[in-house]
Amino acid sequence: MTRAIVIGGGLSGVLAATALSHHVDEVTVIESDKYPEQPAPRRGMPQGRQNHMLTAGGAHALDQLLPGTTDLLFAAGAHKLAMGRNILTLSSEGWFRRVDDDAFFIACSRNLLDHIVRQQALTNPVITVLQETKATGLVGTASRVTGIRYEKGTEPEQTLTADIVVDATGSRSKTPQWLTELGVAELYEEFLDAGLAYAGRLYEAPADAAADFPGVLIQTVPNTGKPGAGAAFMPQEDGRWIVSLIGTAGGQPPTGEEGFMEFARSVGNPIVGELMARATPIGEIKGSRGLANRRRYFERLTLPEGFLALGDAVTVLSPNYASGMSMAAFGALALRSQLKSHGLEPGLGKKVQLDIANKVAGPWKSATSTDRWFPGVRTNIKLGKGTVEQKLAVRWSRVAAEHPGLLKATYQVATLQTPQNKVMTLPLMGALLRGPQQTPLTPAEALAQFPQIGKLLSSAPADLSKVEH
Amino acid sequence: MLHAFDESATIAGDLDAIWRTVSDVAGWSTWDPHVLESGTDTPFEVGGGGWTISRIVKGRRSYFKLVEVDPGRGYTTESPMPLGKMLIINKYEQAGPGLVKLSRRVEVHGGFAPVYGFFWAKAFQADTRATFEELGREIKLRATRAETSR
Ligand SMILES: Cc1cc2nc3c(=O)[nH]c(=O)nc-3n(C[C@H](O)[C@H](O)[C@H](O)COP(=O)(O)OP(=O)(O)OC[C@H]3O[C@@H](n4cnc5c(N)ncnc54)[C@H](O)[C@@H]3O)c2cc1C
Repeated sequence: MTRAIVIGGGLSGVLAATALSHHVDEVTVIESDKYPEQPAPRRGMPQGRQNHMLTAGGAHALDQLLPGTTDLLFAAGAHKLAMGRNILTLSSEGWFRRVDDDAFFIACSRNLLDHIVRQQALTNPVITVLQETKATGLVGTASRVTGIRYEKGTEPEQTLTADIVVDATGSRSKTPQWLTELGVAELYEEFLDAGLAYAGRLYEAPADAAADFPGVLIQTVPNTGKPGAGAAFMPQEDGRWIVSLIGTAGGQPPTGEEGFMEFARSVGNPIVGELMARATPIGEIKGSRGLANRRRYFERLTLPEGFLALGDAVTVLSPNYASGMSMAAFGALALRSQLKSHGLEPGLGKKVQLDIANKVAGPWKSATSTDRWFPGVRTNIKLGKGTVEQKLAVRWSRVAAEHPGLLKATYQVATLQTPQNKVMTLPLMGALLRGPQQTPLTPAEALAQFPQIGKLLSSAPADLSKVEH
Repeated sequence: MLHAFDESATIAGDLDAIWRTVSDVAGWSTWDPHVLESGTDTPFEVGGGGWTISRIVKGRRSYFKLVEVDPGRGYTTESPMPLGKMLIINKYEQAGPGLVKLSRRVEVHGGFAPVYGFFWAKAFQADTRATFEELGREIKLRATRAETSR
């Protein structure tokens, strides 16, 4: 009789349990929270109130683990937004031109996504979830983890043994401390904190908004000497919209009524504020803080056998890059692939951590090498000068704003379908070297690419000419 | 040139349940130990097809076409190979009450056959045995799942 324990029943945990279910007799998921019966917020998932987008790469991994999940999401009202066709983007270097390309994000509430994933996964008779049960430590030695300690309500602490324990407790994971208690060497951790904060709210879309209303991304701009300020506006299921306002240290978005709207109007372009003004707010404005990039280098550690970690417990990427859920799915897929190739044999944990490290390396580099340029950044990473890198990033964005080939490559990378180091071709390199050839789009030209927006705003035209970047 | 091998096994289950499982290409990767990833955009019928990434040739998609489909009883896939092709012929037949005989014949045709035979055939044959064993487990699991969701 073999047992796996997964600590944490968020996205990583549920997907890891699915991956493990074909390789052990039983999988026990330990979740400190209580799942809602319907798609709804829960205490253990505070970020669920903010805009969450799933990349095409993440959607692929999700469907590999739980076939049919994205179809169920679409049936429940999730939107498939092709970056080139369905999202108006103001990048650091200007408005992106519309381009016919399939790289997409799935936009829906995090609550819906988690609910459907749980529905798909937890009918598996091999998986049992112990809800309202909190893991308090690992059992074993520095060379082998043999189980966990946990507590439920007021009952005394208990232990549960397992052949493999997976930490999927997210960014607040206690694993570094738990491993040290077992005598394992200290886990090396890097962080880079730009003081990023989100303030978000749900809206009822106006009745006359088109069903295929586009998303809008106003990206935060690094290296201006001013705090980054941006906004994400996305259609959700049930005729709702979600807005997340984004700011870095010294310019974090307020969660009060007035400041919220003011902030929305003050980012690179006021379009998101204008759309908010035409919609009906639902509920309160919710803030999220403490959104630093954080990476734990499990792959460098002599890990005890019978243990591994996934998802945010390994790497937290700035939510600006919309990649955390995808990384959760990639991690679970890597676990499944290694289980298929090697079963539970010694070295499994190390192999999975190496696969995860490979997946995370590109997004980590791009997140940290962008976020380092915001004022007031704190980090323990020894950063080089990075000026060439920074100039290249600026040129890339500037050329991508007008060059369909480079824009498609950018979208491939952003939707985690192709790593950045694999998208470059000779013609694209040529375009990058030639630099920009056209005058950037004006706000009016950019907006005219999406008639749905113009139609909605036509009843009370707004001045959208301002660009602050 | 031809390299071929045959494998068979008898498992508990009924033909319908087995057919539902084996004709669900997107689901292969969830239970078949040989298949790391799989996908299809077409119905499971002649002319359709899909792709797999196997644990033998990791990191690369192998594409297949369905060249024969006999619902409930078997199907044959054809995949391109250097200098030839690979046919995988799968058959399912009742072998007594509650028992089904699974059989698979793999044929590699063309100039690549000896190379395939030398490097990959043994691993694929062993994987076919593992596939049959897991199919048995998957059928039981799906039956329990259907039972509990009722
Ligand atoms: C503001 C914000 C916006 C974001 N936007 C996006 C986006 O657009 N796209 C995207 O892909 N990602 C986004 N993310 C990231 C995404 O939310 C995370 O990457 C993802 O939720 C990680 O999943 P996880 O399962 O690893 O961890 P979590 O989701 O944190 O789940 C951890 C689970 O473990 C449980 N738990 C914790 N400790 C214990 C314990 N001791 N015992 C038992 N259970 C425990 C918790 O209750 C929780 O259920 C965003 C994050 C934030 C903060």
